[in-house]
Amino acid sequence: MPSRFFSGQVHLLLKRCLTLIERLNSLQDLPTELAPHVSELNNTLNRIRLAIENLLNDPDFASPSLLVNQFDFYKRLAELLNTFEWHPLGLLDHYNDRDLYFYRFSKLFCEQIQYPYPPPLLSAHSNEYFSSVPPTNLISVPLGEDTNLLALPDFVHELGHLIYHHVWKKLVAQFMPHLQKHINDQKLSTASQAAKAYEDKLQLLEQSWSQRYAIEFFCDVFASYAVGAAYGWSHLRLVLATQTDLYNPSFGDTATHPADEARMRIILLTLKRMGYDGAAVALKGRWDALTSILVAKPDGEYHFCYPDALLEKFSELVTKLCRELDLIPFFDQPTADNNLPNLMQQAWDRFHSDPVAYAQWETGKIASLKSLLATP
Amino acid sequence: MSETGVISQEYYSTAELFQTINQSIIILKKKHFNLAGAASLTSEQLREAGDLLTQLLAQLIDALHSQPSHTPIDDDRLQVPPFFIKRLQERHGNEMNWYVDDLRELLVAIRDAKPLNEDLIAHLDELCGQLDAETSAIHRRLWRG
Repeated sequence: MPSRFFSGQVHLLLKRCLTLIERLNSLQDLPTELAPHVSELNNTLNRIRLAIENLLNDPDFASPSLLVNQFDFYKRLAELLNTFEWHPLGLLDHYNDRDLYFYRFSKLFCEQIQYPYPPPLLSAHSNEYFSSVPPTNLISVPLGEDTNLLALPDFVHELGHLIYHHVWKKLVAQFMPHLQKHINDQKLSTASQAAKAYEDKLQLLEQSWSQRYAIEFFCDVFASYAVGAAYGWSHLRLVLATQTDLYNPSFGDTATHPADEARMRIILLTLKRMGYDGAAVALKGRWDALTSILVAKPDGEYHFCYPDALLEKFSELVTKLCRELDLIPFFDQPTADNNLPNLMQQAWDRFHSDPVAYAQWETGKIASLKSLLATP
Repeated sequence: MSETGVISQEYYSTAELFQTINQSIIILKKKHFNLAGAASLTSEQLREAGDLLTQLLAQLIDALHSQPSHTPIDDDRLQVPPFFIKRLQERHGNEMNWYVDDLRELLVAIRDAKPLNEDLIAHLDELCGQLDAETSAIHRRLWRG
């Protein structure tokens, strides 16, 4: 009986996959420049279809001794199909001019930094600030960001998630020995303390770093590499707007993102590593002044989580990787008006030099940008 | 900036590991239970599945040992994530030495292409089950917020 139910569910998954393929291929009004994305999505959906058909055609399909393995495999296929249905296919089904504007913006940015992978699809109606779904090569930006410049470095952070998706095995393999050394050193230094509790927290710290914090720190270092201090300023702006505890998560806490204090520190370390001490000093001065009004302070175990040495090593590995990928750093970008990494830096410089007149300046720049991106 | 980027990447790497391990276990189980599909398995498929599972077991045994060696890992090799070790520690914490002995027996049996018994098959299924539970949990976080 379980096998009959299972068999029925696998057939229904195949039906759903075929429906999505048909819908994708019936989209007639998409801009022609999206053709590579439609083709890639079609290939992905057909790979899922083939995997479902292979499961159904397996001579041992629904055999009692393999049922659990095959059921779990079916779940992975269903999850994969969900991910594509909810994100890129949902976007293409009601694609609009603002999505296209950001697609062109993103494509130009990718060309200008020598991004080595296919440029992503862009959705211009995010419901969770800037975000990305790396397995689907999709970035989402909020509805109103086509009229602003100062938050755009956060798009660059999201592009970092897509790069991480390609390089994570190599980076994690290089970083793990340094992380494990830090964890072991802490184990030795805390051996006489409440050992078991510390061991659990250290294990959680290792897990958080290797599976989550490394991803966010990677994106922070990459964005600093690509657009310089503009990313740091954008991060400061976001922290002031959204965060009250700069030191959370601390030791023993679980979260997807590392503490904002540590994220700013790795941005500053990266700017210094790239020889931009002056920019780092200016950013740190403003960060210290503005964050001093927040009440949160680090707890007694915070120092275990993000020591400078570990952040420095991580920044070193990521900037080295960026150079190996031939990504162009911010300081090598031309100062031309149509250069987007330069425009992001210019916008923050302009904001600092004349905050009151900035909005008017930004409106003019946005108009020029829209004119530049009006055609493919 | 949002959690989606981190969680979807975490999901991807966990699901990829699960698929690799699950596929190898299916191949060994087809052979063990002498199922209809066993006849079409090639020696190359059996060798690759065995190599991958011995690599996994060697890393698990090292990590679950009281004094892990922390041997540097090559980026092309299987990378066992810390959550996987933690799950196994939580399940077998009270009998860890016996459990590690069982994993060693399983590793030797697969490495030397010896027949597997029901207990060893159950250990393989448990490893896969733990990976599946983690993968499903991460995916639920993606769509339930």
